Amino acid sequence: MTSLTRAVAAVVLLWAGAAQADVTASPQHVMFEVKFGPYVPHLDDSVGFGGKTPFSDLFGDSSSAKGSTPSWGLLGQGELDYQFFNRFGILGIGISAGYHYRTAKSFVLDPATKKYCDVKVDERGGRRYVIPSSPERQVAYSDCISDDEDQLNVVPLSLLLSYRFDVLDRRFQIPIIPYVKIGLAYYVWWFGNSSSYVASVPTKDSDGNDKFLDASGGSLGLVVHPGLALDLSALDPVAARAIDQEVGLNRVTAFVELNYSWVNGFGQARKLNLSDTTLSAGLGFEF
Amino acid sequence: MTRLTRQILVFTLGLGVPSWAVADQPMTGSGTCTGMVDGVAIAGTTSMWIKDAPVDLSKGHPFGKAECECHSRDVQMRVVMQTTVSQVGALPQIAMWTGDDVCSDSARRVPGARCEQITTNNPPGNSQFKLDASSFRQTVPIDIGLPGEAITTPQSLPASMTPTYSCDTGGPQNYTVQVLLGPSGPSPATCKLPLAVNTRGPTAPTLDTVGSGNSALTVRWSVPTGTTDAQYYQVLCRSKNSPNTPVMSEDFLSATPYYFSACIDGVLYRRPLNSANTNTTEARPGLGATPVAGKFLVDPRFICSDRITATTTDLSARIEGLNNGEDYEVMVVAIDGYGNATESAVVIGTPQPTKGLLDDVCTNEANCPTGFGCSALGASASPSSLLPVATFVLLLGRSRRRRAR
Repeated sequence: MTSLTRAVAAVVLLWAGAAQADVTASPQHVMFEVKFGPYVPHLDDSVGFGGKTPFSDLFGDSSSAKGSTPSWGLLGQGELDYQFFNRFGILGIGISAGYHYRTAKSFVLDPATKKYCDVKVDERGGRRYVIPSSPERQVAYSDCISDDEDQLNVVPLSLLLSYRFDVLDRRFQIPIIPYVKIGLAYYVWWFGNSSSYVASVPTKDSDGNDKFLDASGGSLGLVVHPGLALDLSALDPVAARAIDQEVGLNRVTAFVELNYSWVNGFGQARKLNLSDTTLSAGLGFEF
Repeated sequence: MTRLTRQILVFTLGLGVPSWAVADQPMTGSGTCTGMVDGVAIAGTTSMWIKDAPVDLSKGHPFGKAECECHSRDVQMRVVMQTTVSQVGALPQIAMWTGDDVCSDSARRVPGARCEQITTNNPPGNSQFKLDASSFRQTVPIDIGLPGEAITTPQSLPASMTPTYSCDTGGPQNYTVQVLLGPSGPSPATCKLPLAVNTRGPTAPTLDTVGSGNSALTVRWSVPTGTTDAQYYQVLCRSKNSPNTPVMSEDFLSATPYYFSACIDGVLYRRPLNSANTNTTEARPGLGATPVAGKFLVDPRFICSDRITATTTDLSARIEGLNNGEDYEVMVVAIDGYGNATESAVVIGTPQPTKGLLDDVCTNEANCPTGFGCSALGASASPSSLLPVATFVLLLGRSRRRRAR
């Protein structure tokens, strides 16, 4: 392409963009979001754990305090909204799904005592690993773990009602959109290990017979996501309108939101507590 | 074609050729029959077969150390004549040679020549060898046995002397097996089959750790930086208490090929060299390594993993289906494109039970976390805990009523 051809093409595009500047926006009904943020479920707060802290013991850093919450991992989520009210702000209903996983070395049976390590508080408030034999024997973390891994998988699912206050953006060209989403959440979880995708847990039934259960389940709860979005169309309104006319993409936003999740099966004993409060950031596409 | 296109083509083709094949240029395993017999031109093709199946060269070459040690007789040179030797007149003289690209009685006397004639007496034990000039008058395939020890170690010796085969002839080398048709003059007609041989195994891997898992062991190994002579790795294991019984199940062993060849106690175990990817064995009584109590031989019956491609960055394998508390001897072998295997040192590992997060919680079923179904809203949920749910449903209902108006 010669420089003359490029110049002509640029002029045509600019003209086309300017000509479309006055064109009304296409209908807008759908929003798709992708977002990422830190997440650490508060499993040890599960009612059924009865004060035990197996999540911290197994997944926590060996140099951290006994019972402390393990470090965060990445949670990726996608959300699809249907926007059914679009006058003074936008009301929408949507579904979201995500995935989070974390791994830790499983504890190994001590061949001499046929017991597993316990994690206890040391004199400095940290943790120490002991073989609960008589007398108790302190060991290094590396002596407690096997080469197998436990993997916690969480798939957070939510049904959301959202309100986006985009009046400032639409009427006053201030590209800030505060919003809030509230919803019902169901977080699916399962534990895998080095041998299987879903681990089996040995247990006993009500008659005392040995049986194995799949290490999987889910917890119901509520989520609230207040956030602030920046309308990226403000960077180049002409191009944004041209894109809207071409492919129907009304608006692209970058956002930061608070993820408040209260997901513990509403306090039931046999539900894991997968709650967390954290921030996430992402991009939204409105069509 | 531009220079860039050529470079891309060369680069792309280069990626498709296995590392062991690059050293073997020109491509081995197939050749042609050319020349004149009694003034008539002949034409034909040659290829390599094992047990009535063509050797799939993409899987490598058969002539490694094990084929030599077991004096293999199962690999054959198949000749298919398109233009045959004349149907009339006397049959031409016929002889088979292996070694240099040009071999004959006179050529082998050149100092440094590697030319050995294959007969029913050479190498010793080659009594089944058959070379019939009349078969070159037909277009039906002619199969001629290739004695492993002579192919890998061609020697220039007078017919009266018995050659010795060490099966330790170094790295990759290219030899030619050829059938000479016609007088033993300067230019007989030939059917040639270029072959690559290599009796030196790849660099030995270092077995770093054998970690315990629940009914499993995780094996990790390493090789020196820049090592490129291995194509695959495979893990072998055996129980310390019953070292003669394979550890893995029959299902595993029948479904998992061994990717190296070995000559052990009268049997040549050959890795898959056919398109069906199946192992073959060849009975060679009296030959091969003799099992010695306590010594862990590189024996295909003790494979405990599938092949691990050498280009992977994660040199590890997990062996499952073991017994907790039992000691296992573990080794890893590096395998080259000729089926040669070089073993690591033997390390002992012991699987042990492991404990996951829920093991302490699920002491009985009633404590075990669960989820799916409607139990979340069951009798044990307190009224206060249901309040947020009710609020959410109420809000949803109101917004729908407003929209209906």
